[in-house]
Amino acid sequence: MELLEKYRTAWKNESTLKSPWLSDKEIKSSLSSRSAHTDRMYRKGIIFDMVLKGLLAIAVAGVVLIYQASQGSWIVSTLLGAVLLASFLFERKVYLQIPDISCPEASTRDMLRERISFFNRTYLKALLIIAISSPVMILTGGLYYFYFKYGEIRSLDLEDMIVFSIFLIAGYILSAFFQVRNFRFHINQLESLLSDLDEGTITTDILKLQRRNRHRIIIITSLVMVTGIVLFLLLLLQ
Amino acid sequence: MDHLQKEAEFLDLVRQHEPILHKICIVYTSNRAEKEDLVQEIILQLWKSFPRFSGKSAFSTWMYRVALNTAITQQKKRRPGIDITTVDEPRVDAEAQMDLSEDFRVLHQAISRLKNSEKALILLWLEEKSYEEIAATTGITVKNVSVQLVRIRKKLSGIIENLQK
Repeated sequence: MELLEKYRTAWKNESTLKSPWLSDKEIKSSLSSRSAHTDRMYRKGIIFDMVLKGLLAIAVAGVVLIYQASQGSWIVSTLLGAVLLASFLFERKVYLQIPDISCPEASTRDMLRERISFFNRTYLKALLIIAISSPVMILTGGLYYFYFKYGEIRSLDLEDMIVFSIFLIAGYILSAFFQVRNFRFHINQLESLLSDLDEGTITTDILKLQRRNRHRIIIITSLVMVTGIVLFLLLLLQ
Repeated sequence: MDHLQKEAEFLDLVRQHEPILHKICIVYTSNRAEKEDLVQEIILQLWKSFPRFSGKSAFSTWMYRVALNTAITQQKKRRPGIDITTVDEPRVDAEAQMDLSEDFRVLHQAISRLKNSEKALILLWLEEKSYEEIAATTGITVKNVSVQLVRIRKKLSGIIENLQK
């Protein structure tokens, strides 16, 4: 340990650390710069999907117009519109919560705990809701396809229905899978950091519990979504 | 206090405590581009949090806390998909290292091989912060600070000895 004292002295005496390093201009320009922080990345992800859902809502309204407000088109559009609106409102709620977790003056441990908790409880659900855009897009696209190809909403036979359902389910699962996978590494890193800080404490158990809860949320939400899509399809195509 | 006065006060405080920024950037980055990104992000986060700085703790303590938190959360952005606990060979910014003493250079190289959480604790130890101050900044208990610092210092000594062989 005496060896380190020598290096601590070198650290203290290092003249380059004491001399002015940043110009006033550099400090000032940082104040007007936009944050490169990852919180911004999460916000951008949600905003992108909210815009996409807005465009999908317009496309869904177009379905009513092109089918000249037929009963079938009203039912489909109303259901899709309700799904889009509910998802949009949920995403907006999550979006408004994001700034609350970036409280950099909190202690490192508290900040990490808050972030991990936010990811596990809220952001994960948002990702599963964001993934709904894919099946809605496929379904809306399908309705436009029917119009341009056949001029009506075709009633599908069992085989067609199975294929269409697989497309919708695969669209949702693939989208959710890649979004969750993309953010999983981030959660793992934060957990690893917290675990390092809390070595020898009960945090490891808390992290295990949180991980289990996270897996449970993913499984339950995915099952609910898939069941919902299947029921929706049955209702639509019968 | 109007906006301009507040900004002037903030700039003055940052200028006075500029070495803190420099040290954190040295510990958490390995090249000029990373350094520029991190310093910009830290100053921005400091500015955003400045209205909440009550003055109960010293500005330097508060600045360390914000800057370390920003440095730690900034890590994952630069290298997505890579575990930040992975130990890399440090990439030395040749120009910036030219004026540094040999001992400082060795220490910097050794610190770069520590985990991010270890870097934060060792940086505060190098700065001769008390265990209480380190605990307040990192949020872990004083006892845990003491236990971890013994382990990290031992690890750092081992790395330095290896570097000197």
